[in-house]
Amino acid sequence: MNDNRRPTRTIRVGPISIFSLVIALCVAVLCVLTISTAYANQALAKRQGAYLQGEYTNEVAGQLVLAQIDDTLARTGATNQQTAFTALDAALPTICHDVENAVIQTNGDATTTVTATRDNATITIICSSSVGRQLTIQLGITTSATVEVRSWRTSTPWIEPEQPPLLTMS
Amino acid sequence: MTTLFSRHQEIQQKLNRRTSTGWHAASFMIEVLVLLTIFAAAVCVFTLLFGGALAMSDRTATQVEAMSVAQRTAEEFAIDPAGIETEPIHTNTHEDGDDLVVSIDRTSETHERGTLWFATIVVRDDAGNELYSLDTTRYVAGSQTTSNDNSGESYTNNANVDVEVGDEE
Repeated sequence: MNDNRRPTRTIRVGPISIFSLVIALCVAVLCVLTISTAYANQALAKRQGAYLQGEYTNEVAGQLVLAQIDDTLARTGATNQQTAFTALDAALPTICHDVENAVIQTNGDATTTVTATRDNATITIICSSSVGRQLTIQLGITTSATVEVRSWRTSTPWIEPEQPPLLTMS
Repeated sequence: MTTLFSRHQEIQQKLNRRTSTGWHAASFMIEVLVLLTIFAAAVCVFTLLFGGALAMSDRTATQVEAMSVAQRTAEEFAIDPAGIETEPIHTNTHEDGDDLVVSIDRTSETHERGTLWFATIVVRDDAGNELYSLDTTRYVAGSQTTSNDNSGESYTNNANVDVEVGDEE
């Protein structure tokens, strides 16, 4: 009696189908990895470009400050360190402001900040761009009242991320 | 009677076997067709995605190369702002052989004790599309700078220059 029973008509997934699906799955994973790598490289290149722009915006600001300080010393007719420092103490805030405006005109970056401080015989100028690059220049004044560059250093200062708000129990 | 019955059974079994074989063949054909369709669609989609990713990678590589060329030119300008070549320069450093064209727009401003040089460096591809541009400046103390004078002393009166480029942290 069992021999007369009709065979069960079920579609079974063959080994070729499984093999093809596995291949398709592997290719899909590779595709996702390739696309994500391409996007990551593009983002990295954009960041590199922005950093480079920031670095050279700072460079422009630094060179402008250098030129204006040299101009100030020439205009005031400073002949020794004391007269040079007196002239620069009065002129540095104006120089920083003028350079910030000049950087906006030259590079179109309105977020660059220039600060100058004097500590005894060293003038420290810090130019910071919006992307986080920073140029620190240390200038000295020679005995003949000329500018001497002691340090010209670019850096990226670490900014501590803000702490997430703690959960408060009501 | 028994012989007739067994003969009938044999015929029935043969008929069942033929029906089963036909059903298997049809299901196999359907399976193959569905598989081929899905596989062809997947290949098309994957080809498009791989092509897009490849094009994006190529553009990124060109962009990075343009940045590198622009930075190199800016450093050359910083070394010798008066003597740098202002005519468009073709560089052939890109991997796929495409040329990058670097052009420098240079201006100068005379100051009391020196010259302030401005440069806008633009890197373009073969088709003339702008890839990257960089603005830079160089102050040269002492206004007697000439393009033939490459001695470091003529460009600055700054002694003990300590230039450190790179991240300190």
